[in-house]
Amino acid sequence: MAVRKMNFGKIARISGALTRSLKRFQHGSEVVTASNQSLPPNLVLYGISKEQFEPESQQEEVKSPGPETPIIRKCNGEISKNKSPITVWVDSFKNVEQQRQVSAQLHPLIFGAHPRMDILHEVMRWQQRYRDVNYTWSRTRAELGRGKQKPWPQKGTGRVRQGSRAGPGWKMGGIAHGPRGPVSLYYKPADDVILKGLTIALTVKLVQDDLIVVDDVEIPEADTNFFNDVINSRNLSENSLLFMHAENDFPQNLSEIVSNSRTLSLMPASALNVWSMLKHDKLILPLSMLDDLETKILWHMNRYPWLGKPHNFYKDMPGKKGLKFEQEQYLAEQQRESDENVSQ
Amino acid sequence: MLLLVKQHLNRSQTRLTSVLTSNNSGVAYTISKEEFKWIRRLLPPSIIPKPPLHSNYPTPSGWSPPTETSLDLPYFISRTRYHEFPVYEITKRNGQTMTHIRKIEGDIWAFERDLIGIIHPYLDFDPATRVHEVAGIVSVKGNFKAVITQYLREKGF
Repeated sequence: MAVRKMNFGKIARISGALTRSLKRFQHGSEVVTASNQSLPPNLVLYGISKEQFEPESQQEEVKSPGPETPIIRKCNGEISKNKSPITVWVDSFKNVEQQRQVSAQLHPLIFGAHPRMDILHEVMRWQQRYRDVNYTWSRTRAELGRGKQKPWPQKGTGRVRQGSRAGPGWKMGGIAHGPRGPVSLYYKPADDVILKGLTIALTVKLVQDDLIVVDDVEIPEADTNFFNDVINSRNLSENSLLFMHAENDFPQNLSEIVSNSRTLSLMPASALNVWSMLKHDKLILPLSMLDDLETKILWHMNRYPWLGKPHNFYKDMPGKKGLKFEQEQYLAEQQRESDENVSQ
Repeated sequence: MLLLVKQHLNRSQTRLTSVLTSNNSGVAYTISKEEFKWIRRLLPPSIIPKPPLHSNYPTPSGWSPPTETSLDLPYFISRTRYHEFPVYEITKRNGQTMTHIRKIEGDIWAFERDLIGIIHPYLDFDPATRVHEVAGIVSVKGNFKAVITQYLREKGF
């Protein structure tokens, strides 16, 4: 599905205000207003002073969910003592108007990661380049199709001895050690880096207010007019949207609308990736996907590195198919061992 | 998965609920799915396990868990996935040693100030530190892993 061309300037703009915004999320709920956002110190304004400058966003005050807001989704994973869960509003596409009644908790390790722009860039470049092929190719002296004949006799002419006009030292000769394409440019960063890139991208989306958590991505009916009303009331009509859905929860009505649009995309949970997140303006996550996402990412954050084939490693990896019996056995055993440890 | 258990004569046949078979080499073996649990015990787990509860800390190896209470410090240093302190000492190719402290969150410059105060008594000169704010790493010239981990343990990280 084609969407708008990627905005590379966006990433550069992130880094300045990101740390400040992160602190805001990590230190609990706080009222965020346009006047509250201090201007970056390196901002250069021509003609007017910084005091006169008024940022564009003169929208109404957006309050993050407070302690009195009912929480309909809680973090399952363990949370470090220096961090607290991140609360976000849960919207609903069943209503035309934007919903601000209930909130959901997000895990701070996933949605509050340290914003390493270098890691984000590395993962982004990898996704851009890994499928590239270098087709450059040059002819060797054997592939020129000429130069079979000795240009002059070996002795008696006074010239240097030469056996062929196609040698690499000759003008119009063959190329020695030139590019011999096609060569695959495939590579892959370490698993750790890719995982960090994913959490950083999710964090960036959240901090920039580009993450929308909804109770369900499915809309009541496959009606374009209704969908446009929903999008317009949320000021999203100018944005490219990336809808995610849980693996066993395919939104049929939404998919019909997405398939006719150039700025909308729909992906299953397993396809969540950094490139698509940065490519689209807004990311829309359903509640049903959050548990799965959290379990998977935390599992991979705490797993041992791969040690080799004879081990039964990663049998209990969440989302792994075809090993259900083994997984159950394994998890039961783990549970039993942990119970024994606690009782001791 | 199948497990090939070499049959021993003195082993009780009642525990093995499978059929006695033999291959061309003439070695008799039995197939037991029941006994595979003993193999599974030997295989390493996928997830790094949580440390078991001990009666008193530090353990004989010197390890102790992070304290339950939150710390009154402007910075935080989290444990690694192996429940250890993220303090690493390296030897450069010219023989100099360095100590890196990773996973620093919050005010990294405050931690640097504290770090200089900790290792100053061990030196005749000002400690040479380097702060990598983007990656959350502080490096210091010299081998101070023991001193730094002791400090982190006392603070309760």
